[in-house]
Amino acid sequence: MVNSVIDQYLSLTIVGIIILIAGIALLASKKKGGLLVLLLGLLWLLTMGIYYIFTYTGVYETGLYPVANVVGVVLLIVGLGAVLYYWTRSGVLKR
Amino acid sequence: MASRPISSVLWVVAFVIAAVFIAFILYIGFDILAKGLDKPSEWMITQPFIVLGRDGLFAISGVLWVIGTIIFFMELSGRTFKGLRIVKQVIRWDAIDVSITALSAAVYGGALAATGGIPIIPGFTWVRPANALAPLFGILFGVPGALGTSIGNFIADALAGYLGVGSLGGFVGNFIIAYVPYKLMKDHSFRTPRSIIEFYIWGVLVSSVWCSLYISWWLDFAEPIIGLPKEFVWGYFAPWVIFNNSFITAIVTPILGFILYPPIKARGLYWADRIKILG
Repeated sequence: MVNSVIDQYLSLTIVGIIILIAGIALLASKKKGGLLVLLLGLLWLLTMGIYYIFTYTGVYETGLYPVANVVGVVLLIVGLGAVLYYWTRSGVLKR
Repeated sequence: MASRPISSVLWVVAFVIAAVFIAFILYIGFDILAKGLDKPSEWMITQPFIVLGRDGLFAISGVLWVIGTIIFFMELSGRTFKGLRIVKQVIRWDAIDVSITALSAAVYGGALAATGGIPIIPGFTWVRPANALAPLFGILFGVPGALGTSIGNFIADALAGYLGVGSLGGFVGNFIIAYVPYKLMKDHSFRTPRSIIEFYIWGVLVSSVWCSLYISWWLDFAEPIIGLPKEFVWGYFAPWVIFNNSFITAIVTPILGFILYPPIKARGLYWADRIKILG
């Protein structure tokens, strides 16, 4: 059981690394979709990072909330802010 | 001259359909509360699952799983449906499209986690307002928004302690929630009777059921790895996901869609202004 749990997360992490490497390769060769695959790989590994940090700091055992709520709010603000900032700079919001 | 009465009748029909959907979903909610959250076998929404049985559900959901998975990879590889034909589509996947995906992922994942465990309605921690965003992102942004929804759900799984191989089912399942109304609604404006009626059929009913059966089939199939009992998957998880998705979606999404459609469309971010379907 323990092994299957370890394999589960290790497998998901390997999948994330493969997606990230594929994204870098596509972007380097200027193929269409490279930026998307890179973003997918980064966010996939961010997810695995959250899982490992929560596991090793004991957040899953000691009480998920309000830590998860705070991380969720940060993700929401940072993500929304970054994209709106980019859209403002690139003129999308001025149309 | 006759168009105004016909239009009024259509609006009445649309509001009646919306009211019936919302009333039915609220009735299901009251039924669940009356019988108890710990007694899923007695819920009204669980009865079709009991009648079909695990084998019947596994067979039906298996077909939906295969179709959903094919659609997911087909859309990302640049092909789509036009009627019953498979045709090429051009999604630029430039910085704007990728930023739409990032925005959808951050807002959906962040909002799911930010409201997790919080009783938005006093006493009801399971009410998840962010569920309303999944079909909305598909309707407004198309495939980039649907993919963002997938990623957002994956992140939210880690923040809620549910991350695992089962999350792969949730990844595509949430894509389907956004994809079905995007692809099958003909009018995404939330400003016509047709748009409202289409939303309740495709965005509430079909997408919620398909998503639930998709994820449930995967949880059943991968049971040796995930470890969730099949009785739990089909007797609790599947009906609960249908109810929980459709509950907020039916009430909140049309309001958000009505507000957000004009500014999104005006800024050229609406999917039909960015995605070119060939053939």
